[in-house]
Amino acid sequence: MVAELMIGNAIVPFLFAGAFVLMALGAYHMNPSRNKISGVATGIVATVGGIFMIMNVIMFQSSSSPMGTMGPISNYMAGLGILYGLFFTMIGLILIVGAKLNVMAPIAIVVGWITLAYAVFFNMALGHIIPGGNWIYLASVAYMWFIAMNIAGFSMAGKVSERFNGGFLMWSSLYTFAIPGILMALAIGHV
Amino acid sequence: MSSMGTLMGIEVIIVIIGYIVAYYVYTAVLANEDIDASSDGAGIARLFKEQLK
Repeated sequence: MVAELMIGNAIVPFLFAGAFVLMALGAYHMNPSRNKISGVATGIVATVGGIFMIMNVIMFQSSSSPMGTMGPISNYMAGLGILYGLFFTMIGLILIVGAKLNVMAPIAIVVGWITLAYAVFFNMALGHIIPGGNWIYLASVAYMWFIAMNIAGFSMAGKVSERFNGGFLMWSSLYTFAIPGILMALAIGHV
Repeated sequence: MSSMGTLMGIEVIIVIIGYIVAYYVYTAVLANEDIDASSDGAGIARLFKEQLK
């Protein structure tokens, strides 16, 4: 139980940073007739959040203290964490500079499909590697990101309505970052 | 451990499918420069320029 508490608490700052970034990006896309300056503000939130996420993962990997490592989760989540940290940092910098986002469309789709590979892995393999581990919620988060990143990619390429993308991102912020963050921080459930 | 081998095969196929989808989206993006619903181009460069006016 103690080990589970440490695992849960260590990843929480990472999750809340992600919730911030997604809330900002979702709200930005929900309003297509927005003020132009809001792109710079959203970009700052995404850049700071993305750099914070990368810092978190590097910190967890380089620390040798039990609190520093995320335990079994860290071994499987670090790649995914860096993937999203990098993506958010790039989106943020593009919004700050004011360049076009459409080049990020294929990158979003590739990130989404790599996340699907993680989701299949969480579903099929982790129960055997870590006996008794409950990875159902984690797998559902990864499936959700597969859908969300594909919607984001096709939206940036102009194929899906921007408001739909924004709404889905705001829902993803709640379901995939804020809710698991609260569950793990307060040790209500071990995800 | 043949199930792990099957799993790895599935993973590789998923990522390859992802790259194919991304390639088609990328060509669509490159073919039409006007499709961009996401950024309206108010960057720091323009903001500084407007401040200096």
